[in-house]
Amino acid sequence: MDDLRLRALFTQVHDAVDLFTPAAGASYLFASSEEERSHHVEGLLARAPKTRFVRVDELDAYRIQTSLDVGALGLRSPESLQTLFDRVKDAPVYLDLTGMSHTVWAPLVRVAVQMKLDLRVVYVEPRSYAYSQSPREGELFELSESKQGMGPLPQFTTLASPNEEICLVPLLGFEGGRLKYLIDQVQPVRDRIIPIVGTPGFRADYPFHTLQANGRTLMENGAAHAIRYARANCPFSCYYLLTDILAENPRLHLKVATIGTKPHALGAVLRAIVPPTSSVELVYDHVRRKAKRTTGTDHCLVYDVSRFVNFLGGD
Amino acid sequence: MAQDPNDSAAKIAEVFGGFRAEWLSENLFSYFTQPAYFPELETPRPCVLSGGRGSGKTTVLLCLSYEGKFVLSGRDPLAVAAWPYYGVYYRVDTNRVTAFAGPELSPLQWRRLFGHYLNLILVGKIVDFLVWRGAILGEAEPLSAQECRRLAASLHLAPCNDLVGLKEALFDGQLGFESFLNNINAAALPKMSLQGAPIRFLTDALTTKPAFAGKQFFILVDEYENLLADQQVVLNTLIKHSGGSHTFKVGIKDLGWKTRATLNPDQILTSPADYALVDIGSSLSEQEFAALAQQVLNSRLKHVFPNVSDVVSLLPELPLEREAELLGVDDLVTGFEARLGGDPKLLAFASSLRPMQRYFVQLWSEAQAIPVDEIVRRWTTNSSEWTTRYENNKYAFLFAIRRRKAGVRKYYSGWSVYVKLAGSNLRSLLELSVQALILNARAGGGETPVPHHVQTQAAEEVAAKNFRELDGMSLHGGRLAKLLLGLGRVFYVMARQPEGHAPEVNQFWFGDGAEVPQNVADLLNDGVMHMALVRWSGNKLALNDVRSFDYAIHPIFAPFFVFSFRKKRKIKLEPETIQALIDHPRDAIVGLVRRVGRIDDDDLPEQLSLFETYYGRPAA
Repeated sequence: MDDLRLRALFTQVHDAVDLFTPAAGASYLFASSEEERSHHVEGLLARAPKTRFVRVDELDAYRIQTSLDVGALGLRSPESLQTLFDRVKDAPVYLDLTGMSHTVWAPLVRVAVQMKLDLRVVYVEPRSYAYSQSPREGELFELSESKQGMGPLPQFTTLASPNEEICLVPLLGFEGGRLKYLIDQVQPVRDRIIPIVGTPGFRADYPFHTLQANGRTLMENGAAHAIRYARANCPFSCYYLLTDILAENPRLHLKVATIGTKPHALGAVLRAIVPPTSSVELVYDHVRRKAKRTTGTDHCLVYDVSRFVNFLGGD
Repeated sequence: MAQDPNDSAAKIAEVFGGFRAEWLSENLFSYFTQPAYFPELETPRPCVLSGGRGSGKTTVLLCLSYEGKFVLSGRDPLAVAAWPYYGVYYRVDTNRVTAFAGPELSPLQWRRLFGHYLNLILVGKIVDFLVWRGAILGEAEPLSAQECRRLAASLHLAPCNDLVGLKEALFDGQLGFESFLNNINAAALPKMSLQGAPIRFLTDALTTKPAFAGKQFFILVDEYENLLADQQVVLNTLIKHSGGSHTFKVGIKDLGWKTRATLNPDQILTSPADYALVDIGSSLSEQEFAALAQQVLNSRLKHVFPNVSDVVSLLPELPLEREAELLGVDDLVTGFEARLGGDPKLLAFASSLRPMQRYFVQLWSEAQAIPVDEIVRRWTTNSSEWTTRYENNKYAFLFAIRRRKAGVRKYYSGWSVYVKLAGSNLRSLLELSVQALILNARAGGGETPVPHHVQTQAAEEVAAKNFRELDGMSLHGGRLAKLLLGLGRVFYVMARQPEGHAPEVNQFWFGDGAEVPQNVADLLNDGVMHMALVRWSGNKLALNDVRSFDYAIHPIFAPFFVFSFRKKRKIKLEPETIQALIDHPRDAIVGLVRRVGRIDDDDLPEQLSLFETYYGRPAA
């Protein structure tokens, strides 16, 4: 693998969320959740009067509605989502993942990249995660209420793959149960799991929590030795790592499980679409997130996705 | 030179491997032991193989596939031509089939799309087989160019003249279809094939060829439960109309069948008219199940211990009275004679009582507030009644011996005990046995019988592993794990204080008049499907009603929580109690323990030490 220090990264890191202001004339797509960090947009509204803010609401797993007058939009219809971007495409478009679920932002990223928009993705780290009141082994934090079950993200269905041999690449998070569920569903053979741990983490101790939550499952499945690392808040590091794994395993079909950080999930989404490949399939368990799963805000990261895509020479 | 214990343990682990069919690959076939129901699956009619997780469904289906049969036949190319059937294996992939649902299209449109997808997949599997067979046997193409073209046309694929072309066209067809699912437009549906028609065309065409005359194609569909209900309707229809050149063999988890409907509202799939049902749990008696597991283990045992022919000899039983002694019952009855008032007749009788019998008398005395000498007197005068009472309670009283003490609280030892713990689950029985052998090897025991405490430790470890896996088994995995933690603690406390109560209460039911919310019913059904729970019903007419069942924690978890694995007595619970055990475990456990007349005064068993915070009490 090439040294990450020699690879181009396109991230602006702001130490606090109020140090970030979107460019004047830009559009800013966001969603609100009950997580405190998603409310940082309220501060932006005051700081950036010349930015057009577009609120995105999830109607169900298949549709969104926005504060623009474009009606309900189908997440599995690029044409439908294009009608949203057609209204905002002339200036930089910020897409704030912080309050959005994977099912919403992943197809939006796909369409924005396909439309070659000037796309910048925003993510605000939480100050801390909610500890479980009655913790069990591997479940120090209580982040999800339930799972809807495994299924593709909108616009990321994969039916055909040139490779039959499957390799599960879980982007690990704090919830050990999610890894177990995905292993049970995907059923990779013993030496066909390559876990990715977010290191360095948002905080120094987070990688240890990740390993504590998933370690035993990895050992029981013979995957502990195969762990790879990518910076937890860097989609580009994750992208590069997935590219390396693909290159090292040209005969494998990678099922990349986006159960870790959102920046990692963004890296996986980009890897699936730039350049498009049938060798990467995204898998997701569609958890219902707990309302108060995090508290506070920490760094605010802005990923210049369009510059990254241009750098790669993708389309 | 003696073998290093760690080498020996590693060798056992290597030879026995994991027991997931997906892990064993080539070894899966070389170690295959044919279960008694296997011939039924080889008949030309559709079969549904139903069983719990780890019951061997995937192994059996893979062994019916052409890849499996080839290895089983010793990789003999000549044998391939003589096989009466050719099986192609398809495992339902949740991540793909769940794409075929949503509000953008009508249910009818989704069904048609899914039917087309199935045609692409299953025809692709058969074409893969034909390419493989051609390479193995050096045969000419079995299909004419015209047949290839017609098959491609039936699937709306690009024209092609041979198998290689078909493979490419099928791949492109799937890509095109994938593209539609990522850009759904009800006004621009792709061209779709007739449900099942290309499969029928292909298999009918093949069986007219001399090389395939009299043969049948088995379409082996595994993990049928992963299909959505509407998708099961589509496949149910294909099963109903199969026969002749092809048939279906389906693997499904218990309770995984969401519907028996077909696309014709007047027809449902019924057994035995439309398919043979092989229920693994009931198709093998406990003896047959144990014998099958014994065969599987013995077939590999010789590679580790050449001098041992039968695994059962390595897993000796532990008689109850001996177990009581190992648990330390002698120390609890040291003053027994002194409580008989010096009566020579009672003393003489007492001298014939074993320590466990004396302990029984003491506990009975405490619970019923009857002096010990009075109980012994009654036993001397009414031997039959008291002997029966002892026999009925002695097993339950074993659990009290180590009350409020650390260390082994109850032994789970012996092949027959392992068979019961496994609850007719092949993988569990194999795991129990192999873990015992590994622990014994690590302790330097080699091929000598596994000591009882080591067998018990193995049972605890396998139970703990299964418990950890619960989280991942289903959508409700986390809640099921919490339910088991709650119920397990309550049944543990009940088991530790048996005196004055009905013995061996380890089941629950709701009663006929209970209102069971759907989320509780779903949770229990999921628990049964994923082997967290087991259930029984005396009412065959109400099999969809959770109120008609008695439930218990799956016996594999008995050594983890420490209670009786035997199917005995039940308590009535309210659905709200089930919810409370999950959502407010500490309060709910205290309340339930109080309700059943016990005191929650015992530390957690050592194996539950990771749950000290969860329970809010220490482990000893």
